[in-house]
Parts: sequence; C-alpha cells; structure tokens
Amino acid sequence: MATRAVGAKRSAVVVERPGRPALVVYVFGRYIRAAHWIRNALLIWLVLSGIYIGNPFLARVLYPETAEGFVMAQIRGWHVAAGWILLAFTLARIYQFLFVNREGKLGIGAELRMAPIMFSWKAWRDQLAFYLLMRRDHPHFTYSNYGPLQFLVYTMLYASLLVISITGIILASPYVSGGLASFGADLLRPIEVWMGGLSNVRAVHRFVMWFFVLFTVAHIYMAVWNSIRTGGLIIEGIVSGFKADDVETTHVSKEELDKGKAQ
Amino acid sequence: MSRARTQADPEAIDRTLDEASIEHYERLAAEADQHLDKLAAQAPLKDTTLEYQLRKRGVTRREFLKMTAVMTATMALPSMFDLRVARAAELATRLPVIWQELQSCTGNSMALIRNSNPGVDELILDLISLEYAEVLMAPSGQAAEDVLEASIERYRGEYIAVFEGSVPMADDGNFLTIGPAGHTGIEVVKHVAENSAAIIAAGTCAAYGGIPAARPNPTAALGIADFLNTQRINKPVVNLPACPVSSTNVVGTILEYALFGRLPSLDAFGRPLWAYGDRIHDKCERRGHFDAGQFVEGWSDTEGLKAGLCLYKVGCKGPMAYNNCGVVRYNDGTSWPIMAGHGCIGCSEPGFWDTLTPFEVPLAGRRYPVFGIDADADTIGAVALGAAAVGIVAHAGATMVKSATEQRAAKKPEAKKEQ
Ligand code: SF4
Repeated sequence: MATRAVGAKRSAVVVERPGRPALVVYVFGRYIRAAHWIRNALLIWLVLSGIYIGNPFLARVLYPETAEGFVMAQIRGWHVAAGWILLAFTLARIYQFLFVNREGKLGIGAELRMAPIMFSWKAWRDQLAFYLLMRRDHPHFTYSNYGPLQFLVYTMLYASLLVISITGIILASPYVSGGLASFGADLLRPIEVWMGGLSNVRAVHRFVMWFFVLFTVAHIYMAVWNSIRTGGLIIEGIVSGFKADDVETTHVSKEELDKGKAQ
Repeated sequence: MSRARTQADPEAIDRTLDEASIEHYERLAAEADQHLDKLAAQAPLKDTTLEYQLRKRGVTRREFLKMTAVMTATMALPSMFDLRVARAAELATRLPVIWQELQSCTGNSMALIRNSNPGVDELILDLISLEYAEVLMAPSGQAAEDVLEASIERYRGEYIAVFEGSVPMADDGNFLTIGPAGHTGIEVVKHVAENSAAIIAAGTCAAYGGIPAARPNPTAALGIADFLNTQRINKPVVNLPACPVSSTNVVGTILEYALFGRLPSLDAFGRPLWAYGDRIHDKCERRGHFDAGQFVEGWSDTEGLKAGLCLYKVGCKGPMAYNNCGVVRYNDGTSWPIMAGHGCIGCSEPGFWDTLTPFEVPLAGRRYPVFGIDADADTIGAVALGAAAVGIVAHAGATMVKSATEQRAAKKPEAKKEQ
C-alpha cells in the first residue's frame, strides 16, 4: 500500500488503534487528491456521454427544434472536451511517473524505480496470499509504494488511458477541420491504417471504456475492503490525505515520527 | 467572381483564392497544358471524335461544357480548369484502357453502363479507348484473349489497367480462371499489371478484397494493391472503393490521368482525396438532424422517416465511411442510399463486411465471436461486470467468514485464561 506520495508534505502522528498502534501519515498531497476526483468525474461523464454517442437513447421528443438545440453536437463536444482534459491529466501523471524522482526533482522517476516489484515472485505470493485471506497482515514492500498487482493494474490503467485518448483523437478529428485533433490525427494516421479504419478504432474505443468501468468497480471494492481489513484509512486517505499504517513496519524515519509526536 | 468575367476570360483566377493557392493552381495548370499538348501530339487510338459522340447523343457543346465544369468542381479543381478538363475529355481518345474482370459481380461495370440518361461519364467511357472489357466487348473466348494480348503488346507500359474484383489466392488461385486457356486470376493480374502504366482498382473488391474477402474469406481473396505487394510488383495503384463505385469517380480519375499524366493524391487507404477526402457523414443532407439528436428510431418510425431524420440509430455508418456519394450521387445524380432512406453501409471502407455489420444497428451493436457466441461489446462488458460483481460478493463473504473465525480464535485463549 502506498505509504508515501512523491512530493507530498510529510507529517505523521501515532494513534492508538484497538489491538495495534497505528501511525497516521499525510501521504496524498492536495494535487493528487484533486486530480483523483477530477479524473473520476471526467471518467463518469465520458462513459455516460460515450454510451449516448454510441447509441443516442433519449427520445427525440425531449429535444428542442432542430434549429434551436443541437443536443448530439453538444454532448459530442463536451465529450471531446472532457477527453482532452483527461488526456492532460494523464500526460502529467505519466510525466511524474517517469521523470520525477524521490526528491521531487527531474530524474529517473521514483515510481519507475519501483517497477521491479512486478517481477518479484515473493511480492506476488505475499500480496495474493493477503487478498486470498491466507495471511492476516498486509505485506510491506520496502522499495515500492505499490504491491505488484497494483503496479500492474495501474500501468494497464495508464496504457488504457493512452489508447482511449489516441483512438478518441482519431475519432474526433473528422468532425473538425484543422486544430489539435486534426494535427494529432495526422500524426496518428499510421495507427489508424494499422487498425483498419475508423470502425475498428471505434470498437477499440468502446472496449477500453469497459475496462475503465471494470477497473472502477474493482478499485472501489479493493479500497473499501483494504480499509476495513487493515484499518488503513484508505478511503479517508484520498479525501483528507491521511492514511494509517502499522508503526513497526512503516518506513517513516525517526525524526519524522518524533516531529509527529511533538505535535 | 462574376459570371460575365468567367465567360470573358476563361483563364481568370478566382479572386477569393489566396496568393499561395493561385500560384499552386497556376503551376498545376501549366503541368496540365504540357501533358495535354503531349497527348494531342499522339495519334488518336480510336476513329471516334468528341464531335461525333456529342452529335450522336444530341448533346450540345454548351451542355458538354456544363458537364465538364461539374466534373472539374467534383475533382476539387478551380474554374480555371473547366476548359482544360473539357480538352482532356476530347483527348481521352488517346488513352488506352484495359478493363479486367476478376472475382466480382460486374456491378461496377453495370453501374457505369446502366445510366438511363447518359451523361459525361458514359460519354467519356465511349471516348476513351477501352481496348479490352469482357462485359462490353463483342468477341469472346479465344478471340477476346487475342484482343487482350494484342492490346498489351501494342500499348506496353502506356495503358491504364482497371481491375474489377478481388484476386483469390487459395488453391493456387484456381477459384478464378478466365478465358479458354484457364488462366488463374493471379496470372492474369500479374500479366496485365506488369505491363501497365498505372492501375485503377474499381470497386471495393478490387481495392480491399471486398465481400469475397469477408471472414472467413474461403478463397483467400486479396485486393489488387495487397496482391501486387505479395508479388513485389511496383505500380501506382489508385483505389476507388464503393459497391458499386460511382461512375463519376472512375471517369474523374481517368480524366485526371489525361490531364496531368499521373494519378491523383491519395489518402492513407489509397483513395483519391478529391473523392474520398470527407466522410459520408460530412456531406450528408441529414446531418443537421444528427447534430440535433433527431433520429429515425426504427423502421416502423414512419413519422421520423417521412421527416427525413438522421438514420444513425437504424445503422447508418456514414460517420465511419469516406466517400462522396452525397455529392455526386448515383444514376446521373438521381439519388443515393441515404437520400432513399437507408443508412450508409460504409461500402468504401476496408473490410466493411466484417467491421461495419450488422448494417441495421449502430456500430455499438457490432458482434464479436466469444466462446462460440456472437456478442456485442456492451454485452461482453456487462457480462464481465456481472462476473466482477459475483467475484466481489464471494470475496466479501469469504472475508466476513474469515474475520469471524479470526476473532473467535483471538478470544479463545483469553476465555481459557479466565477459567
Ligand atoms: S444519416 Fe448517416 S451520414 Fe447522414 S447524418 Fe445521419 S449518421 Fe450521418
């Protein structure tokens, strides 16, 4: 589980939990929390409007006269706009993943350095054992904020965000002449040809949407489950920024701990 | 630009064009003049002339010029090319063309010759020197074969090869044999293509394999360009997909060749940009209703059908298909599918029979074979979601049982101590 966020201001406080003392740490900075919820809202809108665009289910009697309201064009327009914003967040996050190091400076990304966790057999065994109820304690990985499963799924998530953005740009471009979408689509033309035309591009766009729906459901369940099972304040964490961890196993330094106690 | 100006000065350039475009078109015009002069210097291949053909049809010169002006606009050229296109039509008698049928339904030929009111397209088809075309020619059998051989011999490296239909590759190409000697499609295309100057793939089958190449593609059919790639034959190919291709696009491409001596600029799928640069959706007369969200709700929605609402919900694939049907239409510009009330089926797209079906529902209804069942993307997604829900409930239940046992186990030793 993530116990430190890159670039987040740190402070920690020990609280008594029934059974074992826990250390409440500030892990999710303002930007991370805001970005999480903004992306969440964008994804909900994108999925709903996307389903509408794929099959406009509202009856036409609900709409104003042709000349007075362009419902489909509006929904399409806001779908594309939300897509661009989501892409901006995605690119910022990928940049952070790849190039922001532990000190919050430019370098080899701190999270990129955690990638070996995906190839650690022991880490996989520990994490799966935890989720399959075969061990009680959440495994702690000293070199990684993420367990191997998380690392894999989040990597897939960002890959999917890129795929859905690429296909989205290709699909949006014929509706406009010039502009960013056309420019992007011209660059992406080889991908369009490789995929075999707009029809397949649209099909991929649709399937990746379903990946997000599935991801969201699984993600919410895992977070709630983890929060209950470990008492880790995980749901709380993405709202307030504070998360709880076991005192013995956490890798918060001595000074930080003392600072927290003093407060 | 005023009408009077156009007539007084046919070389006048549209003043709405900017400097760069004017320069560009002037360069193009010079190129066209040069090539037309070259064509004019050659001997005509046919003993017919434009004069004769016009008289035979009772078409006045004025009507002819109107038709070529429309053609010029269709080819996305400015009005300074009107007379040049007319001249190219006159000189088209000097352009040898070989029209080769392959694995096809001859629908493209039919679309070309079945114009009830022959216009410029048919006129030009009569004018060009169609050296060999099975559907149109009188000879058959060995005689036809001889004509083909003689034409290839005579115009080696100069003729335009028009192919109609796909090339079956399976069983050594024996799914298609042509002529008394039983040449396979593979042999015929190789022979005709190798000696041509340029190639036109007329219709979707010739361009991308079309319906014969639809899954599971029993004859292993290929489009012409793909076939030539496998044979390492390097010839310029222009794809004119559609089922059938509109005669305007065939004639426009031939005229462009007469005009400039080269094939038009192509898009990523080898189609001329002047014809396939925009989607059906972008040139559709029902587009306003699409943007307004007013759709024909089903085939029994007579109200919507009569009002001419958008056909998206009854399966129109116009948003995925590139072609100019909405502009040139079929049968002398009489009508086209969407005008007639059925959605576009996207017949000018590669693999349309697999990727754009079923035709009567939006693309979200496209079916994929999974575990032996045909299901659409949303069904697959919903089933996956259901499976996830079942998994979640099972996992949550297991966790509750496990915690309960853990708590009991934790309490037990304490209870023992108390005793
Ligand atoms: S009928 Fe088809 S091509 Fe025309 S606007 Fe509707 S979806 Fe687009």
